[in-house]
Amino acid sequence: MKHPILAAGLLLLSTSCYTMVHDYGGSREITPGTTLSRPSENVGTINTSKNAYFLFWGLLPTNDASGATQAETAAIADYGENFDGISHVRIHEEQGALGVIVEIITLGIFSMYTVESEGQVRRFQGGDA
Amino acid sequence: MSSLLRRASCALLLTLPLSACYSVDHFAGDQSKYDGLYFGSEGAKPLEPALEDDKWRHYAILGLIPWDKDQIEFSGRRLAQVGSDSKPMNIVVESEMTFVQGLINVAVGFIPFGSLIFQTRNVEVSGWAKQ
Repeated sequence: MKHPILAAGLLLLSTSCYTMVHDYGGSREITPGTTLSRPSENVGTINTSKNAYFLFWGLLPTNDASGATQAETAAIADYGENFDGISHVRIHEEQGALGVIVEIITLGIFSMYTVESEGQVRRFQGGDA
Repeated sequence: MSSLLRRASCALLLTLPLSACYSVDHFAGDQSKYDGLYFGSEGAKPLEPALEDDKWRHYAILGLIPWDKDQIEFSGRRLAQVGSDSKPMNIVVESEMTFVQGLINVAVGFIPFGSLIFQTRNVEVSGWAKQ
């Protein structure tokens, strides 16, 4: 009888709220540094933001809020597939005033954060895109 | 005194639309120190985490003001310490409020003005070595 309670307790301890994971599973080079692994030229810049929505006091994220993936998506939208990576990637998270108000009104059942990404879109020199 | 309070309330209301709670910047500052760090593994099979670390970040005024300026560069700085031998790495940055922190935040809320003075969140970083 104690084991399920113990398991539930351990499960509860391992939970976290308002989790935003910034990772990337694609094949391009996405780096916060200033260069790619090979000489590259600057194609342009991206500056994008996306909302991250949570239900039930942040326990249930409803969408992927990865700033790195978001940077690639924005670069594809602006520059097509003709780039090899993004350098100077910066990711900023915050809960804006609207998010705070919404969270207060819904008593935490619904909450909203913003993830902003920026960076320089780059293409390898020699046109290997 | 009431006039002063009214003015303070007005000022607070006017700044509210511009405010940002629990804000955190990943990889701010001089970005040349992050050269060689990559999100994703470029198809390489990660062997083991070269670094796993986390840091509590603390805020005042319901997340409006960070207590610790250091938290801004935490993610990049810690990952940059891994060293160049294991590059490229599969950077993962995770921000969250852990269950324990949730309990602390709720408990602090029971103290008068507690939530105005202290709230806490967490940032976890990991980087994986290339095989």
